[in-house]
Amino acid sequence: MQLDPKRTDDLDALFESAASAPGVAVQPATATVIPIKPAETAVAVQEAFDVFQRIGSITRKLHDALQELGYDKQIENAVNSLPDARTRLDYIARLTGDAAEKVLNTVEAIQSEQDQVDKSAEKLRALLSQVGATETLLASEVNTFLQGYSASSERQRAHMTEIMLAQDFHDLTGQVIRKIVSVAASLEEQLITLLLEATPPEKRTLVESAGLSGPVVDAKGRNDVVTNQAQVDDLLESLGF
Amino acid sequence: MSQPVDMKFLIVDDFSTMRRIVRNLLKEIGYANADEADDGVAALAKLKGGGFDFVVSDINMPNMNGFELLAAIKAEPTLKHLPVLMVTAEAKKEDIVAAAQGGAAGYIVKPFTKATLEEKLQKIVQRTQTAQAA
Repeated sequence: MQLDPKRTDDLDALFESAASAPGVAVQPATATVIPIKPAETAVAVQEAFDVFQRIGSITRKLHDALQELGYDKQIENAVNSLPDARTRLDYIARLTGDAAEKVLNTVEAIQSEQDQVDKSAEKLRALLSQVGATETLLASEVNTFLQGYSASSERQRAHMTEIMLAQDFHDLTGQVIRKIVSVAASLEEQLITLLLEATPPEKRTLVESAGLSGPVVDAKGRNDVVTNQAQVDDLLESLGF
Repeated sequence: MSQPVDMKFLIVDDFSTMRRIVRNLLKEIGYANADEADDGVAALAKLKGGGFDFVVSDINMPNMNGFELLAAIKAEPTLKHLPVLMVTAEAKKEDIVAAAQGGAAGYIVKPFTKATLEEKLQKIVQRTQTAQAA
């Protein structure tokens, strides 16, 4: 059952009640072993056998149907598209990660500069109070400015914290992408097995890719793609553009 | 345990972005002394090296997840006193209960705010100091 992360009160209450429960053993995250009586074991084995038989029968029918209907080509297309889908997801994860790191670098640079300006402002404020010339127009203006600056600096820091925290999308989306990549890998493996069973070796052909490729996900070992704008410009120039 | 401001934190998360976020937030809150580890195995090795007062850990990590790390910390006599705050995207009730029963000092669900982290830290630090004084 999922909890709404925003309902922190619920989470807190649940955590506190669980933490304060007396004499509770540590529960591993793995499945619990439930003892089975001998009589139940025989029934369970028979049921499992029946299930396996039915799965075997379904697989056989599917295998025959695939061969008859020529679906092997479609499965082959699906198999071939999965590694590409995984690489594209990795590409998304890498790009979003890089973007988040850039934002964090920039936020840290701003915070560091802000520290310096805050220190200078504090120094100026101290000097002004030492001089004791608050009655002059200039001193009064500087004091007003420093007060305004101080409040503004605090607001800016809060904004920076928000920008920094928003980068947690990389962690959250990254976890989802990892799961999808793992599911795609498992699906690919199963489809390959199915494909090998359903297609005679002589019928296995390479599937030609069609249409636009989109962003280059992995340029390693490829000479049919460019990796930066300079290469684009060089190419265009060589063609007389 | 060191005085709050001198406390040394270990931030455990497989995403470098999240480690940086937590590290910066801790600094803003007033805890500038922090180190990082990208999974439970690396964290445990650092913790066994000594010098840490507090662990902030993710759950879903490769090699050794947060639950396994928590169990390892609580099973190690030299480390079991360390408060462990779980900061994770896992929002299932069973996970929260398992963390509490495993001895976690607190549980924060991502995405979270600075105020939430600050509140939980204060609560845990106070609770730990009261327990030590008793």
